[in-house]
Amino acid sequence: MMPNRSNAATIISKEKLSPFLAELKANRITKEYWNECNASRSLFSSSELEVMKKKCNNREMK
Amino acid sequence: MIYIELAKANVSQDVLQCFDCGHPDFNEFLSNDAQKHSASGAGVTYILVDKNEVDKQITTVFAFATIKTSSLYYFKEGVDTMFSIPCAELKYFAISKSFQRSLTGKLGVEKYYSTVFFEILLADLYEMSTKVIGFTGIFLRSNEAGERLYRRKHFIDASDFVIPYEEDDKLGKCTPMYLSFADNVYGIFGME
Repeated sequence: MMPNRSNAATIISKEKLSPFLAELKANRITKEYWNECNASRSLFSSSELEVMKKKCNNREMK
Repeated sequence: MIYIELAKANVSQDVLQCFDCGHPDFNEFLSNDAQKHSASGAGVTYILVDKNEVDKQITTVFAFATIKTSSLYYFKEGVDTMFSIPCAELKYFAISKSFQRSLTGKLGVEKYYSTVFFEILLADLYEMSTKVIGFTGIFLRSNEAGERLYRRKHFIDASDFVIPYEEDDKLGKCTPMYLSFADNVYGIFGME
């Protein structure tokens, strides 16, 4: 992602709304999508998180 | 794991400086500028940490995300008025280098850590959109490294639909992407 783009507006071109909406509809998200996202919150146990922290901090100390 | 607001987190400057996503600008933003951005209303940064550390001293930042409010503008056919819908803009999303391009084989299903970290953010953003400040989708401008992740989570490539920014570098390979939360996208855009 590019930083510092806050002043430019995001505009769908004229005549492009219909194909844009069709594309969104084709990628519509479902209840299962949100279930999967919610499940990720508790995917790792405390002991797994400890291992992950070690992995992260060992690398960052190098 | 949980995303908590950086400004409220009990995290030292040392820990923030240890975060390395492999992109110096992003690392520097987190350790030097994120709090100032937040205080000025330019974008709020959340860090992904171990939930058990929230009330203690945070030792590890797994990922961070900076979000701001935005709008997606559009024209209806045959009408000159410009319309808009509210969205959140994901200005930054970065995960620690230790977990990039790595798979976790939980529940018998292999998934990238980046996907898991991003899914937690998506769940939080969805909750935010229904409980804190209303918006109906997420806009972002992806670099090449992030594009596959966003596509996995149903973001569409909006390059063919969005008017490029005037200062866009055509060789910059920055892709505008959008995810709609709406069940009925035609209804949200007033096109029923």
